[in-house]
Amino acid sequence: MNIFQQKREKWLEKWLEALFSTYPSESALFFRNTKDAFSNPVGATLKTGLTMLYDALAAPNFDPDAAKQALEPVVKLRSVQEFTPAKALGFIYELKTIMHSGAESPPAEIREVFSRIDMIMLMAFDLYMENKKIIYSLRASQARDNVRQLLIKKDLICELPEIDPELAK
Amino acid sequence: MVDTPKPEELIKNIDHTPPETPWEETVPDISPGNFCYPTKKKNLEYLSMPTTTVDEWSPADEEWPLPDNWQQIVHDGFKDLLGKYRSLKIFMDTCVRCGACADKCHFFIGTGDPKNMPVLRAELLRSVYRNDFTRVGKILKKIAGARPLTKEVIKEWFTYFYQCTECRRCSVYCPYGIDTAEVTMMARELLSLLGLNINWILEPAANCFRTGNHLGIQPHAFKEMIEFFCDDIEEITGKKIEPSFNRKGAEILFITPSGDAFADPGTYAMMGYIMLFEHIGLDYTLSTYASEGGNFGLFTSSEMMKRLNAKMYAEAKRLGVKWILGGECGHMWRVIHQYMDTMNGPVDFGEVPVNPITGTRFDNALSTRMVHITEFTADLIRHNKLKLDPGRNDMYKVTYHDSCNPARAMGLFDEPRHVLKAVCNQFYEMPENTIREQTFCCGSGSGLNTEEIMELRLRGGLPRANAVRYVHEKFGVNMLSCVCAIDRAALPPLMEYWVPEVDVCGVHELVGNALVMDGEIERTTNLRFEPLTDETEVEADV
Repeated sequence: MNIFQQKREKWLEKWLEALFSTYPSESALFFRNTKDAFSNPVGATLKTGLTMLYDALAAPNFDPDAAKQALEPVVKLRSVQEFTPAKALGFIYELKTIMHSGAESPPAEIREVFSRIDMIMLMAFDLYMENKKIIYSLRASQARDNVRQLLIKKDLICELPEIDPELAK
Repeated sequence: MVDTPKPEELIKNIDHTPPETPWEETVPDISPGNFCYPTKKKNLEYLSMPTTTVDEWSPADEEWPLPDNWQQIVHDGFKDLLGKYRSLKIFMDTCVRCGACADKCHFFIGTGDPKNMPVLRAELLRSVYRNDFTRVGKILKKIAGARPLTKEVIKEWFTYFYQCTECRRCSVYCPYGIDTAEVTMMARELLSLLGLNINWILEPAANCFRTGNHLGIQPHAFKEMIEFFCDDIEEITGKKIEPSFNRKGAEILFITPSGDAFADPGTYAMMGYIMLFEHIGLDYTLSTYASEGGNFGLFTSSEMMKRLNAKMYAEAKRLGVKWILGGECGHMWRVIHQYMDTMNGPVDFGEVPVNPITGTRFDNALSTRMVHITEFTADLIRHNKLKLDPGRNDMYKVTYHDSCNPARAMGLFDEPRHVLKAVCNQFYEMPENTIREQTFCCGSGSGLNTEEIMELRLRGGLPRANAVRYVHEKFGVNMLSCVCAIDRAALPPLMEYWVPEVDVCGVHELVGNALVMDGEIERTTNLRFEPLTDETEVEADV
């Protein structure tokens, strides 16, 4: 059993604790303790996501796809909550301090996980921005479609017709 | 060389933890993206409502454009409301802060902001009530949970009472039956006394007051829109339908939200209604004046709600119809079912609604003269009056979102399900604690369906989306049906963000697809002009 398996429960618990502490204390209590996933989707998403992410990071052979799969729902959630980008994603780096906080250089196996953490941080940036892009486009399309559909239907504007490929020949 | 800080040193400078100040001292974040745009002054003027002191302003401004005597206005307004509504006084006095409601709000569940706990949101108002209207509050002040009305309190009200969709999920759990939605309604009414309302509510209300519907569609345009749908129906079914408008002497007046006339996917539900009425030979008419079922007065003030509601009944009386059939709308039904009787009732026209095809008498609509379309269609199906081919909806695996108002304000649970199970072969329920009276809001009700607060809507809609994702993953659900126009506008972006594989439709779109009309041609597409046959099969045939 390696150090990551030995300390899994303790480190994971601390990591979750760090993540939940980004919410006001009453809410953190609710997110942490309410078991039903439908009554508490935030808590359920964060717990499942972080557990999967920990296992992906600590696996003997690192699989970036598995890490991404675990990260996606967590980042999706944090992207719409009231955080600055740094606060939304800062929890990822917290795992480093949890795994090794001393002044001396960490052992090789932990250094390896540290570099994986750096990698998923970059991954998280990409995911976060993708989510923001979806949000901006949802905003823009709502503003545009509100009137556009009406204009089209009323024949006040017309769209370019579909060109029949046979006729175009 | 400059020392590059290590990541752990960097994150030490980022404070993740939220402030641990008491709620009274925690200032809300009023930065762009966190508030709805305030209303334009002209909307207020058109509706003869109090206005702010300037034309253009932003909630992000330090100084808000309030009249000099704003405190007195709110105090007097509050006093007036307490005298008018015994229920408000009870709601202000009886809460024992048991916390049963605290974790039931979709905004709290999605945001984790304690002021979105219904108990605390109501406390924003209650604290001022104690200060101004109770002896114990006047004497003991803060100790008794009282706080004076300051400009900061007004800003807080504006932030959080426009962060409540009046969905009433919290009220289901309150042991005292406190209707927190009504607390929000009262707070918004007080804010309106200072001209503080949002454009997404006031503009539709003003439009409705002038042209009869939220978007300001004029009578001739409304008629042309419906005729446009009839052209589509003819192309799909071969049946030419010519609905009547403003026809005096029709048996029934049909009123639906104007969203069904101009915004997809509501337009397909509209096609479904028209096809159904044609098929059963209903003697009905549409009105180009009462061309809106929605009532944004509900989100403004009781007076505005009354004025907008009265229009539907005035039109029904003018046309001389026996009763009104209402389309798939959300809050319209709360107004009809809970407030209309005491505002404009009892009605002075028509008869107790009777389904002319089945003979069913809708005694539940005795005093309102208004029947919900799914009650009507479920009754037709129950009496085998419709020929249906549910196979035409086989491309869809359907679930049903109980829209908050029809569910919690009128107890409409089984009728839509009865219809859905008859018109589609694949229907799956979401988990029990997310449907029926426990349904989760779309996150955009009560006038919050505006693009500038998209993130807030997405986090508020998370509990609903999460349940949809579950049935999508478990059963392959790809269609979320509902009976509310706001849902049909709000759920598509919510799905696109959280569960992009799931689309949104009205129940009567599926009825229109399945309905086998007399003399129709063989259908090759559904109402969205999507081929009925699976694309792969078409390719295989070729």
